[in-house]
Amino acid sequence: MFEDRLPTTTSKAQNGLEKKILPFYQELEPVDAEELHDFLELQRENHIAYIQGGLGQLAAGFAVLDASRSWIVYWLVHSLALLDAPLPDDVTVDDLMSFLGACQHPEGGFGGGPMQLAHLAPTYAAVAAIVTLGGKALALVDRTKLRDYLFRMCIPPQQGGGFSVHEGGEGDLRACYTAMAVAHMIALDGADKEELLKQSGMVQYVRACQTYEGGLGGEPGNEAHGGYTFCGVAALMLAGGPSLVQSTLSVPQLLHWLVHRQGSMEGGFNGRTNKLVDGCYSFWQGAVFPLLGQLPLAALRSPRVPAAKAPQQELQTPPGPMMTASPPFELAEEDMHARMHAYESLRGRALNASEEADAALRGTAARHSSSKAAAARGLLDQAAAAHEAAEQATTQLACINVAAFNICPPPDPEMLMHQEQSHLQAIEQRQRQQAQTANAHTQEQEAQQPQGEQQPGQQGQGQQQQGQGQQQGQQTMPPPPPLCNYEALQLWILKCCQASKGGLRDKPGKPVDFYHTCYCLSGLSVAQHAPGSHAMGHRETNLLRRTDPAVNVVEDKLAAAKAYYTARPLPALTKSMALG
Amino acid sequence: MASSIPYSVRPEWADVTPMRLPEPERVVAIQYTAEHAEALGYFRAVLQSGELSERVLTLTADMIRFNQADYTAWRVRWLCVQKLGSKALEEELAFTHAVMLENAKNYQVWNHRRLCALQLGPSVADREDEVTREAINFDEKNYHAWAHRQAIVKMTERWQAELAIAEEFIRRDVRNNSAWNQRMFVLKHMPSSGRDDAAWLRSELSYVAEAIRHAPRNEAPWRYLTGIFATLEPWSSQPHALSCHFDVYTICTEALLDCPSCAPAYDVLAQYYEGLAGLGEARGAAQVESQAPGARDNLPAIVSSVLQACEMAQGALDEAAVADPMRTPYWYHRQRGTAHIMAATTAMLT
Repeated sequence: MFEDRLPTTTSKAQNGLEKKILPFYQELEPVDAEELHDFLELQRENHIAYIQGGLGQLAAGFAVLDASRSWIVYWLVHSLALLDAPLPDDVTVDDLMSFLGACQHPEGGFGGGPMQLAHLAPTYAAVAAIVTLGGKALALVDRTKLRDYLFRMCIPPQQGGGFSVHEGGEGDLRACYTAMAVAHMIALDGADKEELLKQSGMVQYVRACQTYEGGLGGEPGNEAHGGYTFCGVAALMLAGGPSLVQSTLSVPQLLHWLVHRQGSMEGGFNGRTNKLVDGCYSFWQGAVFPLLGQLPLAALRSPRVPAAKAPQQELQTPPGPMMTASPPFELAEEDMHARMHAYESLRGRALNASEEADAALRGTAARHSSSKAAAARGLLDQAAAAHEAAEQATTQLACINVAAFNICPPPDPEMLMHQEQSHLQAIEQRQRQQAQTANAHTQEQEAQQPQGEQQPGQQGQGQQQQGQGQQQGQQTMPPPPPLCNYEALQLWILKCCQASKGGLRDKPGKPVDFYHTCYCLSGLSVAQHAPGSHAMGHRETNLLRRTDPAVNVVEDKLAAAKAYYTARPLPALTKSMALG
Repeated sequence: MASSIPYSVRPEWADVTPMRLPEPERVVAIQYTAEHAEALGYFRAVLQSGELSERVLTLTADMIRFNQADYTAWRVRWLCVQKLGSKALEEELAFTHAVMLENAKNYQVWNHRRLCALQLGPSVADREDEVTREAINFDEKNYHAWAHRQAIVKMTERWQAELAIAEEFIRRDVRNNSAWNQRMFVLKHMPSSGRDDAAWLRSELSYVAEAIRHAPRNEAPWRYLTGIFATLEPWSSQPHALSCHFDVYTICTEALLDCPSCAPAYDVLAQYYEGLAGLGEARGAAQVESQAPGARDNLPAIVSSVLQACEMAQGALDEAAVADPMRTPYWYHRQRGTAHIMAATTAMLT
């Protein structure tokens, strides 16, 4: 980070982190672009061993996660699913089913462990783990009671809106997201979802959580934060598809905040402005990009101003600034030379002053000796400070030399422009085709049935289908150009977040844990599979299964669960539930 | 507070049979300490019976000591406090404080504290100020602490004091984004009737400009600057309000004089020009729609100024891409946006 001559706690922390990362990226300095892939191997076997080990007995220190044991199960089985790895020999699907079943609350929802209150977060974790296990596990969920539980967690709009995480628990965007994700996984129908949205006023709540920065905070007014931003965007996406995201949030501001969360040197993401990057944000922030990628490109730019709101008078266009920017490397090099020079000169003066002070001591002008000594000491102190500044500048230069934006340079503007053009042309073509088919279909329908009012539930489904259609379509049609540097993100995960003994972590210097293992791998999967992106390193070792960016469950497992639950629709809501 | 006497020999618990799990656990099985395992057994027994009492309150303190994130224990604790009355409620402030000293980043302790504080009412103001300051002095960006302050100030309405703490922490570290967020929170909620908007804006922009002068490449004040126009009334209802205030242009150009590679300055400058282009485009569209005679005569001048603004924006974005190469795909995305405006506006002439 450029300190602009004003070191503060923030900049010192940032520079400390960059210095820590430096050796990791310096290993790649002599490597050229083609060889880079050899140096970015995902240590599959080590991670699998670490993850499998977590499913059985856990040390006493895990007592602080006693209320999150269903989370631990999800972190581990989802990680194994991403790696396409099996369960360990000593923990079977039946064992896991038995445990998750014990976490299920008799009145619906899941707790973090047996005999714990139902809580939306471990409910999400348990359901996601069940979906990941698939097959016979799917029948475990008492969906009727779970639906009841979701309704009980609604906070009426008059009381602030949104969802509580548990009875008497806090309400925030995590609660909204976990409720929506669970509703989605167990295939609640459109009518149920619409009723949940109505009783919670969730859409308004999410909108209120977007801050002046563009990201979303946990509750209205709270600082924009990566975890909550993911929760808000994904909740809207699940509730009503891309069009609901577009109509609820200021998307261009969100995008601006989001892209600024990627660290220049590191390549990974931080969670808030001026905070340190952390491996888990590889998913929380990284997954928002493919979600936003489902919106039309125009939604990612400032909306047009309607003619009716045009200003009456012409506004002057003031002249552009005369200066030009220098790239970071040049600035850092200049800075380093300047500080070296300053140091050398101070050092010279300090040495001279020391000699003079010594001479004064030994010589006849003894009465001058103490002031000369003081002067010499002063200069020595300044020289020491200048030395430190020069060292810092040298480190800064070294960091920029191997920064993620240098190791993984961005694509050409022309290439991005062509990508955008191909994408827009393909969209236009598909819209024309859809219009033709829709016309033919409407004419058919009109001939068969009278016009009726569209049910709100159907509208939601329609929007969702549009979203899904866009997503499926984008897998075969030219994608929009990338808006972040997916390669740099992968570089960060593969080079800085993997521990040599297995497992993944927040950042170098932090210990591995199951949470970071899950979210670093999930972020890696997102980066590998994002439209327009590709996997770094060799595909045979590195390519992970594709995770759904809104739900964070492996795609085929989510699809299988949807099919299973959709085939078993729940009875319609009772009147008491519907009226709230 | 709990002692290390086993529950099984405590006379006040003699009538309760602790519950055990039917078999040793196989999955994500935590090796509880003997103390914790015993307390768990008693806790499960009272969960079953539904008891809420002084002794259960004490038991929840133990459970929380073993696992501060035990939300079931916190919930039972709250229900006990509700039953036992106001003295118990008061004592929760000291209890939660003690827990926070061990871990200030736990959701449950802050949620519990908030419930207690909101029930006790505005008289808690000084104590909540103290406990959150303690947390923020230790970690100046503690999310829960700043959020708690927001919940409390909405009840106490001590807006000036909140503004003061935000300014204090911005002074300590001008890069502290949590403090900047708090400032915006206050300004958004503070009563503003009778305010002279123009004067207020000038003074706010002056505050931001000063912060930028101290560290031009600090992202926080720049986000705050654009955030004012995007989220505060009356500007947030005006299209591209940022581009209607020359002060913004001045802040950018002055920053660039001081720091020619200041990426956020180029970014905001580009936004300024993009806004001018957007507003010009709307004027052009209005002329095209207008039935007034000679309306279309104005078009060439309008189109020319829109193209000029777009070129300025693209130039600024080119510089941003040099100064901040990580965000290159995004800068080019913005540039392509101005290209669309140029094409659409040029088309108006035909």
